[in-house]
Amino acid sequence: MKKLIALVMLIGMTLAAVTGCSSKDTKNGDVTEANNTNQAGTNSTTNKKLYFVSLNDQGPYWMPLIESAKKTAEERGYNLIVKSGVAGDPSRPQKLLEAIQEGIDQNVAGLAMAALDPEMFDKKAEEASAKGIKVVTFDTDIATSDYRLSYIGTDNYEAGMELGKKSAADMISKGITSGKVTCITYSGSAQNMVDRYKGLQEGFAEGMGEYADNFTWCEWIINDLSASEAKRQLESQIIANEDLRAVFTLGTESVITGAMEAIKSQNKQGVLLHYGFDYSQTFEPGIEDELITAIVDQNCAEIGRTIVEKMIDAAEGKEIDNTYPIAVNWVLADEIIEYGKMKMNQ
Amino acid sequence: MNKLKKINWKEALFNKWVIIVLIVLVICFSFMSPVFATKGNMANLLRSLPTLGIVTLGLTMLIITGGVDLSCGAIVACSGTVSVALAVKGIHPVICILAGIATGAACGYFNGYMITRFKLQPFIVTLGANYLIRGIILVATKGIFISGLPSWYYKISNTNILFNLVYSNTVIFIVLAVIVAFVMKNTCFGRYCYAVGSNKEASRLSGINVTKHFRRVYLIEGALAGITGIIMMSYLNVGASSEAVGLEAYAIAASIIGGTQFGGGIGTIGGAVSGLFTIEVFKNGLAVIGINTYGQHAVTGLLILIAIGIDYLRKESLFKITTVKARNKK
Repeated sequence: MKKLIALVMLIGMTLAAVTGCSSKDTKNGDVTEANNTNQAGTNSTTNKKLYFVSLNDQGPYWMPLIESAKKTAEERGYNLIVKSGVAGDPSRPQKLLEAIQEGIDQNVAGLAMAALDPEMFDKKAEEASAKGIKVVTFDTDIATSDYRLSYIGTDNYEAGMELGKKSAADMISKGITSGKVTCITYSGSAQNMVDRYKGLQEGFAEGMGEYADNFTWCEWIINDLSASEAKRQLESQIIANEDLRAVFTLGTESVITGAMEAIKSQNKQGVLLHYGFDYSQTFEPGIEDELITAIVDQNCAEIGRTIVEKMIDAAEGKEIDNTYPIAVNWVLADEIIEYGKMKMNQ
Repeated sequence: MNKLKKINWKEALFNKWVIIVLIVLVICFSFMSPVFATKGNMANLLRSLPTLGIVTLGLTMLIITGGVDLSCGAIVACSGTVSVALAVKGIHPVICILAGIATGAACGYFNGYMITRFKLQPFIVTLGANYLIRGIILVATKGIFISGLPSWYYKISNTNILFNLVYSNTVIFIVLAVIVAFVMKNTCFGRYCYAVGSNKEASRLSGINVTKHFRRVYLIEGALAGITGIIMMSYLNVGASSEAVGLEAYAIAASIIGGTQFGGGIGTIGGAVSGLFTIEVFKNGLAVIGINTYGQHAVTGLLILIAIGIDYLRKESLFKITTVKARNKK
């Protein structure tokens, strides 16, 4: 009996410690929820309720995007419920689908979703649309565009192309017209990564023009969110390929950290160029040591704002376009710090 | 010549098969890639080895004692992050390092306590602890990397000791490996590990306080994981709470490949280090010859399965040799 009481107390204390340490609206490994009330400070009725289902709610891309979305909803008098997954959580797809189902069950006015996989979220989008819910997508589109009213955000393929073209131009300006290039990403199956990588390769070839055939792509590195794995793999590629001239990192801190540390440990600063995707404060320590050359960045605040604007417009009966592409910004290394400050203040 | 004749070559081959495999791997990769055996690649290999290496030392000691720890990776991440969090706030280096080690030791002791106090299976306790510890540290950091490490912290793992080939983290690993090997072979503590791992009840009847010893081993294993966390974060130059996922799996594999028996009572630190080198050389070689990431995972997994299979055959063969010898003596 004493043992049982002690065990129960131990479990209770542990749970209390975990929930006490966590922020009000964040729990690790679980879908998080943030409730945004309207200006009157009370919850809106159902027809003014919107669901916002995102892949993640942390990091320099998602946080400003969600903040901007919440702000816009508040300004227009709508109640925005944010549901987010956690990167690296193996049950993230299931949890996101459950969050969407929740929105459908509540018959919300609008539903914005980032499709982790286009096919996976197709059915849910269809069900929501069938119930008259205004569905918009962002970050990654669903497979069947008929099931949603609009896609808002960066076209990942186009963004990859922009990165490819701009980096190619940069390399030509530095006299680099041959060699090997490589890419690191956290996932080889996430649709946005696949699209970016495809766009990157094609944009790079287009940007290189007559020199395109002088370049070879190494096997892309998939680090499964491990910085040490990214570092180890890139170090091996650097050793194995003396003519490795550029590395592209497609998002997440682990990829960026691993790449920069590998360049540093192999003494390739300024020799092996590093082009990143999406702003992160993680780049900043590498600027002085020439561990980062340039980035393309998505205007996430603009994306967040536009998602909610168009969702509300649709809910109020207005016509909206099929897509609202948001352009990416090309930022050189020495501009990254100022750019970051500007982004955080948006 | 007489001595050579007396050696049972089949037995010797079976006992040292890991080293033979290691030599074969090195030769094969050297042929397959001209850069494998270069100084640069060897330096990379030696620098990436300590993280898995130190964890392997602790887990080997634990497995010999009859335990296991599936929360090792989480303890590494937690300890390292705690240490980094203090370092970026300007806390004294000694305190930062001791805090990291203490965090690891506390986590390890928690596991040991739960297992012995409530007589639970190590597998399930440490599995739960894995989620608990990882969850706590991810909640505390929100999964965001802690950057801005002071230069002294970076130097822990990245100081060149010998000709840009051996760095400080490798030296730390070598020192710890020697210490742990010495303790396991030449001290009462080490003897107790083997005794408890072989037969808990017999050990208890022999006067060994099995419960206390078990908790001590978990504490030391946790402390070693704490040291690993500090070295890892120094190596990466960030505090990354999401790192070291699955590290324990490789450490257990290295230990088993090196001859440690999962049931306890059998194994050596030297064998575990051989197993560690086998896995690391294999991973490094695959990366250098250009096998993609998924292919590397698959092939490494296959190597581990083959190694365990060979180890099983080796034990079966030795059992038969031992039985025949015993019969012949009679």
